[in-house]
Amino acid sequence: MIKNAIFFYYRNDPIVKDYFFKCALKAEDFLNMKEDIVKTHISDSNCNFAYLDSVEFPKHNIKSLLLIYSHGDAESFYKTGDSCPFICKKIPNESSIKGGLVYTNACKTGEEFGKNIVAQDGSFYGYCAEVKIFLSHEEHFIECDNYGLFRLVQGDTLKEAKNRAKEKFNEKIDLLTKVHPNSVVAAQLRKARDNLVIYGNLNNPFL
Amino acid sequence: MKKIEIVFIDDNLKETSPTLIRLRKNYNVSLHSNSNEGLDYVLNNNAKKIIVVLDIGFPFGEDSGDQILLKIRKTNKLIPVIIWSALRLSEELAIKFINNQTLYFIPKTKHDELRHCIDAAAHRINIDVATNIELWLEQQNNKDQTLFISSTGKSMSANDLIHEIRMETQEGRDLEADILQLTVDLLFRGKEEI
Repeated sequence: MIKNAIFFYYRNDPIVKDYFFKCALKAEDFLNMKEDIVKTHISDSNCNFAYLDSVEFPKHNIKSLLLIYSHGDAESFYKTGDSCPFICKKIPNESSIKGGLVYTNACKTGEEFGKNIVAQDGSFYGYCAEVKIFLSHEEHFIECDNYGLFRLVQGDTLKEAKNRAKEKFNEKIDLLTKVHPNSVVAAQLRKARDNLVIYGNLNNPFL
Repeated sequence: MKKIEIVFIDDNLKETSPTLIRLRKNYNVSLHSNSNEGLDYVLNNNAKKIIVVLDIGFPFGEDSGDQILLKIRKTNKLIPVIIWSALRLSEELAIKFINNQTLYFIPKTKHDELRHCIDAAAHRINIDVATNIELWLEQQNNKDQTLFISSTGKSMSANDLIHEIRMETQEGRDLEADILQLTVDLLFRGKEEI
């Protein structure tokens, strides 16, 4: 079982403001249900290779849960902003990845980035397409982004967690098409649901 | 549901024309004898469900029908435009109208055919996904406020989205496709076996 969790996020992203931070807080709430998990937060200006390589990663030579709440593309997750941009194509510390899990809401990372995690003997949970967030309905997106993690904390395998997350997406889609109609938002949740991907160890619990 | 508006831009037509009187039973109808005023009206009423019925020839100093069509298409590719004219089209003019998404071309003498084509255009408006998304977005409060942000960093307001839909850009088409896929999902989810 994984006993080490590392959070990556930006508290005040120039584009999505505190969305990633709120996601990380929600994730931390879920992980707090497990008392024996050590949690490390890496945020804002600490998201840079010099800090990670010299200070942070040497402390994490065990398989880990990497929670990445960030912008992303097919090959990387990244931080925007002029002062301290950061692009990560590969997690530098292989020992944290081996047997570990990368859980992310970063767009498109399910394409190449996620497959590279598997090449490092890790597992991956994330999206393989661009995911739009409606800030007017961010609570639904935060909940759906994190529901897979909630299920993992409950002891589900990656495969079970993904299926349960899809049910959560369906619940929100139904809410937004029947109870409080907003089909444009529901359409984006449908798109996110259908672009959720998992790779690696699918059939054994991580937490 | 609000009535669709038929916007006639025609310098020969009178308010008392039997065609307009008949159409008023089912539609709101406005008539603009000056083509430039008609264009302004169309551009200022993008947020309504409108169909434009456009003549080609206008007096010196006013834009011709093909120029009006081009100006409409620079801001909105969704508005159905019907050309209703007594002029015989040259090949060059016909290509211009076709390439700028003219829905029908009807000779001025064919009043019944015009009504039939207006009914068909109205049906298209009512079932067209892009048009209906556009109208929904138009009803939003604070249309300049950021409506959604993608985690690739793209952010858009309702007004940005309206523009993308009207100009049939990739973003607008993606949104249209997303809504259609949602519709299919809602119809068939959990019903894999019919």
